[in-house]
Amino acid sequence: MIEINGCSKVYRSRDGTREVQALDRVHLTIAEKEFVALLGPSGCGKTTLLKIIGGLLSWTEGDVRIDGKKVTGPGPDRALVFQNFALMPWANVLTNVAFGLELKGVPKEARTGTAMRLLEKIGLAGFESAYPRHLSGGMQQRVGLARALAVNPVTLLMDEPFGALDAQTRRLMQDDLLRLLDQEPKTVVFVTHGMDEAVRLADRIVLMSARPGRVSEIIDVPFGRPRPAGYDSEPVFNELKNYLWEKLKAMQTDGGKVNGG
Amino acid sequence: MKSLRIWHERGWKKPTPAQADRLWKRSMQLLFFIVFFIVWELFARLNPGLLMAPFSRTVTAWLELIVSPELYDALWTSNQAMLIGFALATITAIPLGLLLGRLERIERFVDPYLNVLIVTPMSAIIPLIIISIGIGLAARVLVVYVFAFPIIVVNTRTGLKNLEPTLIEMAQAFGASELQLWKKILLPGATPAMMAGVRLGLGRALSGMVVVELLLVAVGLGRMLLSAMGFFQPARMYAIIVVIIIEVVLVMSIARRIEARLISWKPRLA
Repeated sequence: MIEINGCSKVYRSRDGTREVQALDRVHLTIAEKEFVALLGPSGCGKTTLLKIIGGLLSWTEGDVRIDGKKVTGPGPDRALVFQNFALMPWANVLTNVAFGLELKGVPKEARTGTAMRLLEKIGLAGFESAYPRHLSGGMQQRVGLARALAVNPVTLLMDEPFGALDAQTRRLMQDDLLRLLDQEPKTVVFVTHGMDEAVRLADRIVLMSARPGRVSEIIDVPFGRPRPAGYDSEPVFNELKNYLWEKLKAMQTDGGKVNGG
Repeated sequence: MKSLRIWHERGWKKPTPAQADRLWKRSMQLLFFIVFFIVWELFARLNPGLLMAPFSRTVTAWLELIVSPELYDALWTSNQAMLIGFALATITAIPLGLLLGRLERIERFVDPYLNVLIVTPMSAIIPLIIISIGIGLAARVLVVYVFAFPIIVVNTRTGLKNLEPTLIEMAQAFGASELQLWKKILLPGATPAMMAGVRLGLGRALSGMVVVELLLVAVGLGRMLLSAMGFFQPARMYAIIVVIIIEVVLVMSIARRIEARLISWKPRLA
């Protein structure tokens, strides 16, 4: 369970003269094996929140705990998936997937076995010796996902993982992600700016507003996982999407029209 | 392209467009060389001067030169200083470059000096070196060193700084220690720029080698060149220059090859 209690984050410029409040007293509790989407306009601090949970950023105020223990840094219970894939261009697919295990000191044979199994599962069997630049964006992100799954984390932290992909690939990846989670349920925190994506994937959608980043609303998605057949042609699917759109639009006109992310 | 068609009629295999293109380029290169040498020959013969040698006489002088032991003594003397200076520059510049790339605080202090160093014509400080440490091997090594050092530092630092920041974040998220981060991310990531820096540094080391011998410490190839000039032996002078050019081209192509091998994962060598 991830508990975020009144978490605020202030970024200071190097000379200390300027301050940007990225998060303002965020409260959020994420249950085990729950899929939570963080949705909001650019600058709402959703990525900041994700990195705080991941232990990559400190916070200024409040409390962030995982299973009762305060987050002090990255840990083997959490794995990140990045928007730009963050694959090592000098290493082949196998080495990339096994990277987390390699850092943990898992012997080569064992980590190769795990990596090969995951590559098979994720539809990249036969690509283990290819280099990232030879792969399409979708395939690269499969490698990124496999790398995260290889360390067998409790929680997957996904930072707009499909944001850089084309629409078709994105849909395929979304379906594959849900399929993988059915086989092996995990807690997922998923940053996105896609309303459609949030409704397709999440159990709960955390709608955030910008400058400073606040939780403006938490919405329960009325579909179970695995998603029932034809759920996306039901009226409630579109109603929810439209509702989210109206909310986001309102935020943009509420002076949220600041660029940056 | 007429010639290609004639070959075809004689029963040659018709070249693919790529082959034809290559053939065309090669012939143009060859043609350029021939024209260059003819112009050189004619120019020298029409303007006879004390320090002007035509192409043909340069070739004979070169053939004489490459069998004389004197040349190999000179090559050894010159390259000794070059190799020591270049090696020292590499093993000191890379760690400094890495340090500067990683620690922004230090970089801010060192950057201005480095920027000055990289644009300063190094020949200008040769007299300074000579009056400080004399005209021995050490002085020549030092000149080569100051020629090669800045570019290697700057390239190494840039390589580290231009590394995709999410790669570092990724490694940290997977729990990498600082040592693991260096071994698995920073060093492999900085290698292309670092190797390019070493290659450029080698080029500068070679110029340093020649410059110091011409300007102040007359030994090795530099002395041969100066004495050929003093004795009005233009053909020999040209021949020595050709030897220097050949060495540089050879050394640089070896360096390029090693570089390409070390970073074979990069799509193309810039």
